[in-house]
Amino acid sequence: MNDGPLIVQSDKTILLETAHPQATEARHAIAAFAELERAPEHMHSYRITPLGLWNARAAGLDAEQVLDTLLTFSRFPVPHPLLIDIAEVMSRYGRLTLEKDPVHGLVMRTSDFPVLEEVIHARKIGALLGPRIDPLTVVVHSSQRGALKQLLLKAGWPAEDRAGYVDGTPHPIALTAGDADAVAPKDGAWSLRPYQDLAVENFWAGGSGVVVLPCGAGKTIVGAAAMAVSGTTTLILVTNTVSARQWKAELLRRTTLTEAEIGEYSGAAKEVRPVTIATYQVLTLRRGGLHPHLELLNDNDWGLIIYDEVHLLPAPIFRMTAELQARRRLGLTATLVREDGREGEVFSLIGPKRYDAPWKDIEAQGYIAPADCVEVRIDLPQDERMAYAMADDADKYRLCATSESKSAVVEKLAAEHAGEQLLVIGQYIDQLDEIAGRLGAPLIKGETPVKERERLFGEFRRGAVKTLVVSKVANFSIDLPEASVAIQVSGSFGSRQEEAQRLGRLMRPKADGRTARFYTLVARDTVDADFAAKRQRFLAEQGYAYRIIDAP
Amino acid sequence: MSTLQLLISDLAARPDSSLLRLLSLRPELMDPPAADFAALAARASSRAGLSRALDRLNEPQLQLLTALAVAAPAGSGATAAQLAEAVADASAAELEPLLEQLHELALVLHSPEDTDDAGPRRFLPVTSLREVLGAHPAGLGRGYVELADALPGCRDRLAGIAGTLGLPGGDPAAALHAHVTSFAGPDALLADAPDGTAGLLAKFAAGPMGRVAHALRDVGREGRPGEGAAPAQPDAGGAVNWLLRRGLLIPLDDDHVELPREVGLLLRHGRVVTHFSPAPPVVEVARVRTSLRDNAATGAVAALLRTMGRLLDSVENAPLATLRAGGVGVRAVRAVARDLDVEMAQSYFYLELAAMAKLITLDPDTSLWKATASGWRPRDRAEQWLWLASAWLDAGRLPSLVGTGSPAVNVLAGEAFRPDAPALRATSLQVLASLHGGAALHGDAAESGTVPAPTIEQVLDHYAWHHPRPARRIAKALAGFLAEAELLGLTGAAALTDLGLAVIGRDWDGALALLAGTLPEPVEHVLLQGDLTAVAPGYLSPVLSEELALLAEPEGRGTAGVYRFTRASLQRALAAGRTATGIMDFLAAHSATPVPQPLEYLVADTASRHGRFTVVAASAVVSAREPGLLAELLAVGAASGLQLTAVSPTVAVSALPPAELARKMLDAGHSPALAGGVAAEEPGRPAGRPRRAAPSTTHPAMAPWEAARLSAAEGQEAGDAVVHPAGPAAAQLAMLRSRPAWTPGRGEAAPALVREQLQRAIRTMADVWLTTVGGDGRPERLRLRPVTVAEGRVRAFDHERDSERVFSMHRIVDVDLIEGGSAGTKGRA
Repeated sequence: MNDGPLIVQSDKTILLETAHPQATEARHAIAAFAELERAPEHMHSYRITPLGLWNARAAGLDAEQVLDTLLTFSRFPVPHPLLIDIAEVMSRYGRLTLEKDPVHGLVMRTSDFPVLEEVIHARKIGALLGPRIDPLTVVVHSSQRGALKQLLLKAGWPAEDRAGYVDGTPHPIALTAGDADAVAPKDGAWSLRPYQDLAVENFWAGGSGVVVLPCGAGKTIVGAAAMAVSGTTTLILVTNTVSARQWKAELLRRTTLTEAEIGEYSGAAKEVRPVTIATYQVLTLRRGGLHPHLELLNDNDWGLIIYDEVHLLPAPIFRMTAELQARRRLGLTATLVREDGREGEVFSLIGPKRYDAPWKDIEAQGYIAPADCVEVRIDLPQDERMAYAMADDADKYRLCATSESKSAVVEKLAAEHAGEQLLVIGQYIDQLDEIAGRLGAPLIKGETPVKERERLFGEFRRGAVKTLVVSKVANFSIDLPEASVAIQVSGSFGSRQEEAQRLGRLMRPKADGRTARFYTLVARDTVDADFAAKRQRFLAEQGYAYRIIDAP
Repeated sequence: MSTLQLLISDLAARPDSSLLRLLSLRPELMDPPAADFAALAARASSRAGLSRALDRLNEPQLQLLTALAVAAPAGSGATAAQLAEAVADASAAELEPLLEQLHELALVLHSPEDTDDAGPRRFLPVTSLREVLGAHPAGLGRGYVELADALPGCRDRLAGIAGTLGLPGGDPAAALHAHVTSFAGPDALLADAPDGTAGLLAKFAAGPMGRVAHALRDVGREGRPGEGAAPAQPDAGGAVNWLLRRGLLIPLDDDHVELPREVGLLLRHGRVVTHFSPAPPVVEVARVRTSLRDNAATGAVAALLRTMGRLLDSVENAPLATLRAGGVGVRAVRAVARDLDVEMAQSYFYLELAAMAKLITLDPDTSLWKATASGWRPRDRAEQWLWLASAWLDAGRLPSLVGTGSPAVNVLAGEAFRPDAPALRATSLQVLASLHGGAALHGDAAESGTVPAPTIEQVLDHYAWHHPRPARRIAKALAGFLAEAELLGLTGAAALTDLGLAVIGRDWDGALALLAGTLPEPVEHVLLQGDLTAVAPGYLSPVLSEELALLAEPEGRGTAGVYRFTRASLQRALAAGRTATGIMDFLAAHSATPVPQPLEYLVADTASRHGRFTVVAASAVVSAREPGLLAELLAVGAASGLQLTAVSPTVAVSALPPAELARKMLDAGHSPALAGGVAAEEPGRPAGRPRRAAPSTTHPAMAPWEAARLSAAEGQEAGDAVVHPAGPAAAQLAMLRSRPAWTPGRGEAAPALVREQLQRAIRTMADVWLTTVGGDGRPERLRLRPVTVAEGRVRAFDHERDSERVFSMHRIVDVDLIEGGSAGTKGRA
C-alpha cells in the first residue's frame, strides 16, 4: 500500500488531496489525460473521459504510461475494470489516420481493416468519404475533414490527424516583451508569464486547441504570443465591438503590429488587414438566408484563427469551423462550461484543451487578484412574498430577483465601500435604472452607443467615475483593471459561466494588492436562491467559497 | 470369488494409512458412516459411488481404467504389460504407478491369481465399472455378442452374414468375433475393399455410431451383388454395402449403424487408447505483474464489501418480491442495480451472493426477500469478506445461470440450484491453483515479479486433463466461477492471489491474516469543503458513514466517500431528531479541517426553518355550527377524554377514531352526526421504519466458515475419550476395524452381492439356487437360470414350469451359483 495523493474512484473520477506533498507532481502527471472537474479547497476531482484519454494519445502518451501514473500515485488500489477500460479506450485512437497522399490528396488510412469497414458503412460517415483506393485506404473530401473527425469521434474511432496545417500568408509579428517585472506589467516593460509561455508552447506543439485561463490572467497575451510564433496573417474572433477595440489596443501595446496592420470587421467597420478582428455578431449576421460575412473565414489565407471566449461560439461558426480544419485554431476561454452542454464540440472542432490551470493556482502565484465572494441573503418583505407566491412560474424569477429590498441593500453596500471602484451588475434594465438613479451612477446597457460605452469605461478606468451600473453587456471581455467591488443583483437564471465571468471583471491584480469583493444578492426562499446555488457551482468548484451573510 | 467379495477382503487387508487415504480421497464413502467393510465395498463399487470417483480421475487414470475395462477379460484381469499393449505410447513401467493409484482408490483390484503364481500382478476392474463407463468406452462400439443380445433381429442377420462368409456354425456372434479378431491388422481386413472404405471407417474414430440412409437395405450376398429388388446405391454405396455385407457395420435401425468393438479395435491396431496423455497439456500462460494482480484483487475486495453494504441498504429499504414463477423479477433487480450503480448482470451475482451468505433471506409469510439481522454488518471488514467468500465456496447454486436460457432464469430462482456446484467450484479452483503452482515451478524462465494469468480456455483445457468426465458440463459454469472469483478478489487480473490460495485451501486464519495486511484502517475524519461537500479520504468507519449518510447525500462510487450537504438532506437529519448544535459538534469533531462558513450557515439556516409547521395526528374532525357550541364541547371535552384540539373557532380535531369520538360525545350528552358513515378502523401501527423480522434460527449470526469450525470442534467434544486428530475419517476407520469385515446376507452389501451373483450367472449361463420371500412372508428356494437384471427386477427361466418368471430384487434373500451348469437345459436359440 503506498501513500500517494490520489484516490481513484470506480466512477472514473480521481480525487487529488491538495495538501499532500506529492500533490503538484501528481497533478501535472494526471492533467495530461484527465479533466479537472472541481477544485475546492482540499480535494480536487478530475474525471477520466474517452476524450481526455484520446487527447493524451494525441499528445504522445500511451496506455501503459497512464496506468503507471495512476498506480504510482494512488493511495488505494485502482479499480481493475477502470484500468482495463482505459487501455481499451486508448487503443481505439489512431486505428484510423488522416494523411496527405501525394496523388489522392487527403486520405484516411487504417491499420485495422474491420474498423475501416465499420466506419465506411456507418450512414453519416460514408457520405463524407470518396472512392476506396485500396483495402486500407479511402479518399476524404478535404472540405469534410472537420465533420469527419467529429463523426469519427462520436463513433468511438477517433482519427489521428497527420495531414498538417496550411502555412497561411506569412506576416512577421513580434512581441515587445521586455524582461522587467512580470507580476505587474507596466507600459513598455513586461514579459510573458511562465504559464502563458507554457500555454503557447503546448498549443503550438499540439497544432490546434483551447487554452483555459481564469479571467484577468492575460489570455490576450497568450493570443498575441501565439501570433508571434505563427508569424502569419491572423483572424481574431471576439464577442463584441468593445472587446474588439480592447484587443486592438492590447495588440498595439504587446506586439510590433502597427495601427495600419490591424483591421476591425464589425458592424461599424469592415476592414480586412493582415490581422483582422471580427465579431461573432457580424459573422453570424443573416441576410436573405445567407451569411454574407462568413466568407471572411475562408476567403483569406489565414495562418491562425483565434476564437476569444470560445465557450460562446455560436452555431454557424461551429459549422464553418468544421470546414477550416487545415488552419491552426486557438480557442481562449476562462470558463469552458456551456449551458447547452456542447463543450465536447468545442474540443472536437477547435481542438483539445491544451492548457488549463485551477484559478486558485494562478491566484496563489499572484497573477490574479484574490477574491472574496459573499452571498447576501435578503428577506422579501411581506407584500412581495405574497406577490411571489401568487405569480406564474414564468414571472417568479423576475419578481424575486428584482425585489425592491435589493436596491436598498445595494445602497448600503455601496456606502460601505465608498471610495472604491464599484460595479453593479444585473439582468433587468428596470431594476438597474432604479439602482443607477439611487446611486447617482451612470448606467451602461444594450442601447448605450459604443462610443458612450467606451467613454464611460475609460473614465471608470481612470477613476473619474467611481461607480458604474452595467447590464449583461459587460459580462465578458471588458477590461476594468481597477474595479475591486462588484454587486450582482440579478443574473440570467442559473448560468454558471456568467457568474464566473462577472467575478472575472474584478480579477486583474490591483496596484495595492487588494482583495476584490464580489457580492451577490439573493432573495431567500425563492427560485433566486436555487439559481444562485447553481450559478455558484463553477466558482465553488474552482475553490471560491461563498461566505453567506444576512442582509445588513 | 466375486469381485465384490474380492474388494471386501482387499479393503479389510489394507493398512490404516491406505484406508485413511481412500476415505480422504472418496469422502462420500463414509457419509453416513459405513457399518462394516462389506458396506464400504458395496458403496465403493455402486454406480453412484463409482460415478463420483470417476469424476475425480484425471485423463491418464481414466484412460487406463477404460483400457482395463475394455481389454481385460472378465474375471481374469490384465497385467500392466498387457495394458501397455492397449494403450498407445505407454510402457508397463509407466502404467504401474497409475494402476496403483487406481487400486488405492478402490477402482481396480488385484486379481486373486496373484497369490497362486509368482507371475506379474494382474488387475481387475471393480463391478459396475463397465456400466458406469457407458456403452461406448473410449469411443468403441459394442461387441458382436453384446449387439446380438441387445438388438432384436440382429442374431438372424449375423447368422446370414456368417453363412455367406462360410464361418463355422454355432453362435454367429461368437463366430464373427473369432473371424474379425483373426485378421492381423486393418490392411488385411480391408484388402479387397472398394475405394473409400478406409476413409469411411476413419469417420468412426471419434465414436462408433454413424448415420446411413436405408441401413436395413438388402445389400445382397457376397459375390452376387444387385440380386433381387435392391437397387445399387449411388453414393459411397460401394463401401457401405461392402461393410454391411461383411458385418463390419451393424445396422441399429434404418438410419443408424454401429461399428462393432472388434472392428474398432482392429482399426486402432488393438489400442484402446490412441492418444495417451500422461502429463497435463503444456500451455504458454500469459503473465501479469504481481503488483497489478494485487492492485486488482485488493480493489475488488474493497469494492465487494462496499457493494454488499449498499445492497443491504437497498433491500432494507425495498424488500424484493418473488414472482409466482420463482425468483425475483427484472424490475426489482434493475432497481437494485441502479442503487448499486453496476450492470444488471453483475447485480445478479451480488444478489445471489447475499442470499448464499444468508444476508438476505426469503420471508415465507410475505414471499419477500428481506435483509436479515445476520450479524454481518458489525464485523470488521476482513471477517465480512471471509463470510462472503466461505459462503460462496459451499453454495449449491450457480449464479452464472441467472439470465441465461429460455425463458431466462430469474435471480434467486430455483433453476439456478445445482447440488454439485460446490464440487465443481472446488475442482475448478483446484485446477486454477495447480496452474498457478505449476507455472511457478517453471517460473525460472519467466521474469520475476509476475504471476501466471491463464485465460478461461486455458483453465478449461487443464480442467479437461485433471477431470475429463465433468469437463464436458463445466465449460459454462467455469467461466462463471472465474468471473465470480475476480469479483470476490480471489483472483486479480485473472491471476490467483495469495488470499485466493488460502481460501481454496480453507485456511481461514491465513486468509484473515492476509486480509488484515491489505485492507487499510478505516479513517475517522472527513474533509469539509466550501462547495458543501465532505470527502472521506479512504474507507470511512461505519459509525461515521452512517451518520454522514443521514446528514448529506452520498455521491459517486469508489473507495473515498463523497457526501454533499443539501437543504433536503439536513432537513431529513433534523426530522430524524438531530439538532443544529448536534450536527455542528459532529462535523467539528470529525472534520480534519475547519468547518467552512457556507456549511455552517446552511446548517443554522435549515435548522431555524425546521419546525415552522407542526404536524399532529388527528383521525377525527369535529365541526360545530357556531363557535359557542365548540367552546362548550372543548370545556367538557377535557373531562370526558375527547382529546380535542381546536384548530379554528368552529373546528376541532381529535386523535380518537371518528366512531369512538361520536360515541363518547353521545355519552357526554351531545348528539353528533357522523359524516360519511363509519371510518374504517385503522390498525394502530406507528409510522416509521417497518418492523424488523424477528431473528430466527435459520438466520445465522455466525459466518459459514466459523460454523464449519464450530461443528468440527463440537464433534471432537462429543466423541468420547477417543479424539481423532484426522476427524471423521479416523472415526470411520475405528468403526470398520471394530467389526467383522462381512456378515453374509446382511447389511448394505447384500443387494450388491445378489446382483453381482446374478450377473455372473447370466454371463456364464449358469443356474442358481435363488431364495426369495413370497407375498406371504415364507421363503422359497428355486432353481432358476437368470436372464436379465434391470430396474430392480430379475427375469429368470424356471425349468420346472418351463416359463419365465420375474422377481423383485428386494425380495431375494440369497443367491447360490451352481457351478458347472446343468444338463438338460436349453441354450438360447
